[in-house]
Amino acid sequence: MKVVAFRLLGALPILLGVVVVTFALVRALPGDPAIYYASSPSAGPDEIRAVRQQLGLDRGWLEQFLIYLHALAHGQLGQSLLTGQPVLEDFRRLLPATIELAALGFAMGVGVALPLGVLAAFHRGGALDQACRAVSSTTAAMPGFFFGLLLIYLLYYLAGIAPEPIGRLPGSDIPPTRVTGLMTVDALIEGDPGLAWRAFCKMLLPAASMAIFAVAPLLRMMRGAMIDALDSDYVMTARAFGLTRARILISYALPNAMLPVLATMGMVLSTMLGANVMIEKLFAWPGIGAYAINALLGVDYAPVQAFVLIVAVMFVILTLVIDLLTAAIDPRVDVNG
Amino acid sequence: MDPLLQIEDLAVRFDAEDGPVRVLDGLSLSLGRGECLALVGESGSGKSMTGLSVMRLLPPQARIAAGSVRLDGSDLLRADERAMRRIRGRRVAMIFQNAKAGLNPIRRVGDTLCDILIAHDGGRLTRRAARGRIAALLGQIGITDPERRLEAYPSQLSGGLCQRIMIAAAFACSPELIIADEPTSALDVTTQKLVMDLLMAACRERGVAALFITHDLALASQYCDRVCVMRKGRVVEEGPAGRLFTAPAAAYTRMLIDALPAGKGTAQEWRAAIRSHAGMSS
Ligand SMILES: Nc1ncnc2c1ncn2[C@@H]1O[C@H](COP(=O)(O)OP(=O)(O)OP(=O)(O)O)[C@@H](O)[C@H]1O
Ligand SMILES: [Mg+2]
Repeated sequence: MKVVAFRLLGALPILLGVVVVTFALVRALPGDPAIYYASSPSAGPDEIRAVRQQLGLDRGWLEQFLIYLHALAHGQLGQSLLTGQPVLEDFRRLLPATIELAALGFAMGVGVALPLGVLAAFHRGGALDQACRAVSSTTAAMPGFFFGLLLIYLLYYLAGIAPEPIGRLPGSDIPPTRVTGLMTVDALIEGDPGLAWRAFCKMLLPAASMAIFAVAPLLRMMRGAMIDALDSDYVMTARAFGLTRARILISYALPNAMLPVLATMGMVLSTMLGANVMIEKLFAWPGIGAYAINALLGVDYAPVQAFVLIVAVMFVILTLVIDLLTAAIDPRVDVNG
Repeated sequence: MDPLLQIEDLAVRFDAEDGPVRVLDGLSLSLGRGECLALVGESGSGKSMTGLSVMRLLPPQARIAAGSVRLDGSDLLRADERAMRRIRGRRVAMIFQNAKAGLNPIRRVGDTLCDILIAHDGGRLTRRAARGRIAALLGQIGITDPERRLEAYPSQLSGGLCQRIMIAAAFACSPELIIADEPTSALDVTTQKLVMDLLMAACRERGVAALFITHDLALASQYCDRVCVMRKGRVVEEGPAGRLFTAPAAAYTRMLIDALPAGKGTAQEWRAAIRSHAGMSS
């Protein structure tokens, strides 16, 4: 656990860099919040100046930055001008929706890609392998939001089997009492499996659209790594000693093949975190991605900065988790390194 | 009585783009119980493919076109995969050149060895009991501090030690035959001697037959009773190690003898040394 603390400490400079860059980028964007948030489009220069002063935007950049840092150090992410709430409050409300969706999307991607990759490796050059190759090149070439649109068109508009692609629950349902913020879990806690199921169904289309980012790279990596493992000397030796196929697969080929796949998972998760912005917008999903996009369009600095920072923190944590998992599998890896 | 291993007219082909490649082409050899036979030949002559044919572990592109491989009278080429699995490691064990790469890099050496015992025990053996037997075996093979070695991962052990551990693995289920494919080619000269002494002593003590694959004629004659010289997928000459050196019948064998490394003295001296050694051991 010392390792964990040490690694998190080591990530601080990276996070600081992220803070600096977002701070600068946000201010380099076109649009002036003072004009945007003045009472009316016809507001005079005096009023605009007053608003600017109120927002602290009349100070020098460095001063603004130091104020921002000071607030960050005290755990404050600022105030959203759009919602009028503290950004932290907004995140507390929206983050579970994002996490629930991303987790399901990632699980779907992994659940499809890994078994297919293993099977493709076993039947190298066979029909299934060819099909997998086709799937991975198509999905790699297709942007997730386009896939989302396609799913909506086919499954909701044409076939009518998918629920309306808006929000987390059908309009007729009353959300369960909030405990975790995860809709399915809260519905179960309330003892309403039907509601949990409907919430789950609502997640399927957006989650599938996110999963599409994970499938191609994971499938390719799993197939390649599994082929390498099956062709390795240690699998050959294991076969020469009469080990059963199951034992060779479970204790020899799979764990070794998982090492590069785990590394790819880190990369995949980071693209998914980025992709969720578009997907949430497309499916009117009330998560932090859609929130950040709205803030960006509304020249609302604080939420955008906070969003990027949160994503960076999640990325640091996920990378750490993946490294710890890798170290747990592979004795040659030193977590301290 | 049948010989332990009898290969007759074995033909193996590779289906390549431009027609089939004949890798083994009418190979015949036989090996008695407890006998040590060396299979010698230049690179690409088909030595490894011979060993892998016995194990039925040829690469997927390879096709056995003709012949038979009899172990104790029954043809392995007709055995199904289930039967072969039970033979591999238990009746015929095979060890390879690169022992370090042959051990699962992310599994403790002890667990890998236990896997082998358990694979051939029909599920009766517990991992604890297997562990104890493996530790004892390592001790018999002359590996110091076996308990600690078993806890190690392959990357923490030297190549020589890994090969000795593989040798222990090969003897774990008391096989009748051990196929050793260039077991010491990746090791330095001193370790090479250590490992070969260990392997051959263990074979002779336990009465296990050995098929020792090497391109090193000197090594072959030093450790084996009989030598088969292979070329282009068939045996061109076979006989007692001593006779092969003093009176090689095939021109190819003579060429191999002449090609022995001259770096450590003249070819003449080498040949004399080998001759005397071969004479001693026969
Ligand atoms: N996958 C393959 N496809 C086609 N030909 C192959 C393949 N593997 C081996 N061969 C051929 O089979 C022949 C015999 O190979 P083998 O490995 O048995 O030689 P060897 O006597 O063991 O040589 P070495 O001393 O280099 O190990 C070689 O000529 C090689 O070119
Ligand atoms: Mg070879």
